[in-house]
Amino acid sequence: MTNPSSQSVLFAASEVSLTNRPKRAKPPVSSGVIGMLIFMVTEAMFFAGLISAYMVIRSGIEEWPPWGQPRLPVETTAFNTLVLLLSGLTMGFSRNLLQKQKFQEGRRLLGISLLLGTFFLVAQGYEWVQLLNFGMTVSSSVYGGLFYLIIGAHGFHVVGVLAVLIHAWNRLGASNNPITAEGLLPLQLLWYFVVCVWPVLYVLVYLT
Amino acid sequence: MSQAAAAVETGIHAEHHEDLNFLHKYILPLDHKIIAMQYIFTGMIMAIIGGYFAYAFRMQLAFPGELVPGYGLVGPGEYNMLVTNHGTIMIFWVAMPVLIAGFGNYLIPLMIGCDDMVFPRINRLSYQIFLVSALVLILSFFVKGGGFGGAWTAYPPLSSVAEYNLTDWGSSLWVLAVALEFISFLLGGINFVTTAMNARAPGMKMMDIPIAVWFIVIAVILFMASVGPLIAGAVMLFMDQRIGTTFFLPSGGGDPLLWEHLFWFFGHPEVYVVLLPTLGIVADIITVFSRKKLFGYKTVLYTAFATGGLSFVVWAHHQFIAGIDPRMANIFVVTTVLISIPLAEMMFSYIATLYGGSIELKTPMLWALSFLAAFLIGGVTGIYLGASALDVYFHDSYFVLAHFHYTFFPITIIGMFAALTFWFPKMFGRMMNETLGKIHFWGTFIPFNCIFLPLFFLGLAGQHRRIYNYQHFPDLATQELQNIRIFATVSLVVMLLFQLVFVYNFFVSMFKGEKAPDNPWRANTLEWSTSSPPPHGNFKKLPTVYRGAYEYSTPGREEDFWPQNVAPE
Amino acid sequence: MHLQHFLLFPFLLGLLFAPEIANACAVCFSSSEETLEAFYFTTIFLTLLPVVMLFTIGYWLYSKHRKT
Repeated sequence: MTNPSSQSVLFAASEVSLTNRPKRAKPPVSSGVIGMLIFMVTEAMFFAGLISAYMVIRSGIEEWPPWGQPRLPVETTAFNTLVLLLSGLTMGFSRNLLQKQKFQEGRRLLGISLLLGTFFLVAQGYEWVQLLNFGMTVSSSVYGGLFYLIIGAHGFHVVGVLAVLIHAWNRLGASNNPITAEGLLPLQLLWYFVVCVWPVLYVLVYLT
Repeated sequence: MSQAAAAVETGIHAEHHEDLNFLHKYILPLDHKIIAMQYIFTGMIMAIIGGYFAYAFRMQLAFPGELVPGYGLVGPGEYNMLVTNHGTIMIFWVAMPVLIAGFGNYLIPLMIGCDDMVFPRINRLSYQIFLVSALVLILSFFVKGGGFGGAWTAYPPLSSVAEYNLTDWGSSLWVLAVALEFISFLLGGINFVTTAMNARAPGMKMMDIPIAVWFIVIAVILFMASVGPLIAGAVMLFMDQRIGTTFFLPSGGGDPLLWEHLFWFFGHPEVYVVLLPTLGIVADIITVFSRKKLFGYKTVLYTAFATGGLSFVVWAHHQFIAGIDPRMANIFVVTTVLISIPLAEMMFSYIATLYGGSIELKTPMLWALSFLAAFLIGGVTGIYLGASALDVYFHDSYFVLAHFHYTFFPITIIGMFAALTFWFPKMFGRMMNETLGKIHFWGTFIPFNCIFLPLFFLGLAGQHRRIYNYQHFPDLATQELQNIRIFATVSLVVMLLFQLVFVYNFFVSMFKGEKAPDNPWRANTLEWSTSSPPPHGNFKKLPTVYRGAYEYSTPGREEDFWPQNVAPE
Repeated sequence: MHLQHFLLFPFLLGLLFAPEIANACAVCFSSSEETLEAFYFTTIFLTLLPVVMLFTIGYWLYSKHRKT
């Protein structure tokens, strides 16, 4: 390949430099936020599908929970719900601090928020182990299947978002290529989504 | 700056880095144009597979029990696998990647005047996941038991219990492939909407965006908002197949109707997801070739919004005979018939655009006009099916089959050819051969009608879908009906043979065609203001937009077109 | 538009709820009234949710664009 324009006749005639281009006006809402909002619509519809499935299947069965299946731990999970909501709240406060350029305090509060999220995850895992000991598995009944499906789907999201946020937390104070408050916002939005969808699932799966 | 551009700048090492350069330019590109090509070429290869499947099962219907040349014997299980995967491939691996991902990727940045997508890496990842999904689907044909044969709608318990469908791994891989494909388009869709929102050229207002971009963006939003429940359903189906849950099994407390709701909640908006890009592309083509302003830009746009909104409230018309509440069925009859109003309005707008224009019948224009004609037949027959009283009799007959092929064929195949022939000069810098293009057009459009018009009559005669041999049904085994089947099959073979003309024209024009000028069709939109093919980064200088996309034959101007980026005097 | 046209419209809408037992398929009907209601509710829920979300986000983006 001696002449770049001859080999690339198929797709692109020549290369132009992408530097020194006129900057366009800053959009009112950043691309990350728009992208995340659209993604959240899809996620919300995913959970709406699960909720619909739960309601339809639940309506066809008289005895709920079915015979021989354990009752769900409503009280401990209520406490767990509060922990998760608190995590969402501290996340909001940390954003306020970061926007005011108080990086140290903001980073610390974000860390607390992530710790609370991890606590929620561990407590949920402990609960699962106990339920499995009581003989409630994915295939023991459609009750168990729905529980593990819905709570598992939420737990999967918690794990994913926590992993990304911990990575972002590391980069918040990094010397090279640090993340800004604006760059953090889409990830925080996803965490708010995970936090906000939990009470709905809690009421649906544990209380009805 | 991309790897490719960097490699060109350090030209001394070009020879040394040749492989790397090629790898980053064509295999792992960040450039939206190359990613679009990847999508389009993958979609075309999948279209060949889908067409081959159609050939095999149509031959079986015309000459039951005989060896199909080039395929072999088609047994009942094999037949089911062929029709299932023909449907799946044509919708999910041809219509979606070519029309939305392919042309969306190619056109959005060029038409709104920016250098690339907002998230190029997500764009690349989207294609890679798509490629994996296509490979998983192809793999599913070769596992033990063969490919999945439970129809592209995959109704449980047929799809969820291995003892019923006899394709244990084939069905699981099918679900996996479809789910992966959705994730791929999800990533691509985020990109499209964000790019169209935030990266428009300076001066381009909402109402200056070409209709093609608008419609692709609306289609993507519809897709994003409707795909969630199906992903949930796919996860549940996969769990039913592999780890023994009973979400869709009545014996275990589940409900098989639930899948139909989750599937069609996505499945019906999906029809509009693939329809809208083609409608947008056709709008752009007919304005260029009738040298007239698009009649009612805002009307067309708002009817698209209305179509999108209504498309969420029509899906239960697929369950009219599945045992849904008749009260609910009635509501869905009303909404289904309602959705024909915005689409009819759009059609009238297009026809009004043609009225009084100076029409040039170039190949892309022929495709665009044939789309309008063919889609009209598809749309009108849809009204019969939307009425629940008639649907009771038509359901799952060949009438339904002919109806949705009269919508999907114009959308997918005709739309794809219209777009390819129109943007070919921009994509490859060379013109396509007009004569061969017209031969290919007539050789496709006439056989297409010969295939599917007779199928309406077969459906009215009571022929049911998904039966591999009608000789077992005395009423359907008459020579009269068999002659119709043979006619349709022969037309299909003729149509497939004419595609060779296109393949020849495509590849010969790509390398040996006449050099294309920057703006061969004298069109207004921004992609024609850059060189053909556009360089990496699309524009030498970022364009500024001064007017709408459809200012053709403006009174008082010498030229009959007025590009968006030309400053007013 | 005359008054009787206005009255005709709710009457026609009311007709939609009349055919309770006109089932096309006698055997595949859902077993219980609760299941029917669940399907009813989830249909409305799934139908309205995307429309509401998209409208909210669209309006929010539109107002943000208006301000700048």
